[in-house]
Amino acid sequence: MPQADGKRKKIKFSGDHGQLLADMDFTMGNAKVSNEYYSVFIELSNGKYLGLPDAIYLERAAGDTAGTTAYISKSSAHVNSDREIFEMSFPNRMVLNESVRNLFYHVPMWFAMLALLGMGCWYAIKYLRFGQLEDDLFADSLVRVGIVAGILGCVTGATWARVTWQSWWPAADPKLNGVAIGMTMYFAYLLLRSTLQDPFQRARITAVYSVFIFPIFIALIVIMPKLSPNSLHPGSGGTVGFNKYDLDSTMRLFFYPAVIGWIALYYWIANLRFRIAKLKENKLNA
Amino acid sequence: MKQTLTEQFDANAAELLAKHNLMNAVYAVLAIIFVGILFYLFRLDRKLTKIEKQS
Repeated sequence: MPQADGKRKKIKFSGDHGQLLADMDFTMGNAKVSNEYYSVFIELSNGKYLGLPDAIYLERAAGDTAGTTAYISKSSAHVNSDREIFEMSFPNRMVLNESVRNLFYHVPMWFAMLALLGMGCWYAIKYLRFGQLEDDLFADSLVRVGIVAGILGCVTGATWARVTWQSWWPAADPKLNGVAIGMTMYFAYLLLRSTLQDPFQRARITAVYSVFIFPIFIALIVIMPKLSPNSLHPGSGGTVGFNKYDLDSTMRLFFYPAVIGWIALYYWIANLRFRIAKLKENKLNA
Repeated sequence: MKQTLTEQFDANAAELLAKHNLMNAVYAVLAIIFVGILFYLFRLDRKLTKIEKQS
């Protein structure tokens, strides 16, 4: 990664929490500048560094072939050209760094899974009450797509854990153990369903099973980690919730719509699967 | 003098952050979700094709 001339400049800082105002000079010296995101490292008066990864986007000035002058564009940093004031707000979390963005992908997988399994449980109850085979088919589709979301949640979580917790599957975490047990219960659901041939018998038995395992699943992955003395996951066992990470609520602005969007996407897929299953059922009866 | 974990991290922050650009983890997660959902949709498609052929 090319670097600026490395000259240390004294910068005056002002601004409040989460926002930095500084006077800065942006001549790049002899360093070759390519259009790229650059990190800003600020040496503090106590000799430590404050690192802001990919904080600014430097662009070569027009007509500059050597690439020695640059200006900042399209990033959260702004330069007031009149007063040469450098202003930016940058959410940086230790350990998580850029991977904090996974909040919009990994976490909604679980929200979507819980929503779909919950709806599946609801339709299973509905089947047991009214005996409509359609309700059973829809409940089955919801549970199956919920399992897909759960598997994706596991794999994405393992990827994220590898870079932040240094392990694919830190087995000491109660949430992971809970999910391992819970997913096994839902795999058993798939097995149970595939062994039964008669549609009504299959519907009744799997509906009862589904209604039973959903609360156990909730207890395993939501309640138990909260009660346990330690957990790596935010919001469980003494770890601070994610709301403590999101200091200025910017992430919240994207997180909630992301959750709604992912749930809607999985619901739509479950609906497609239900319609296919219904088609198949009608074909068999015809 | 004993340093706390936070102090150690701060001292090596510049090095660490340059080495561990975790943006790749986000790309990996995105790719996994995309491939996973696509794979499931393809399986649904196959199921539908099978039903269509039965008629």
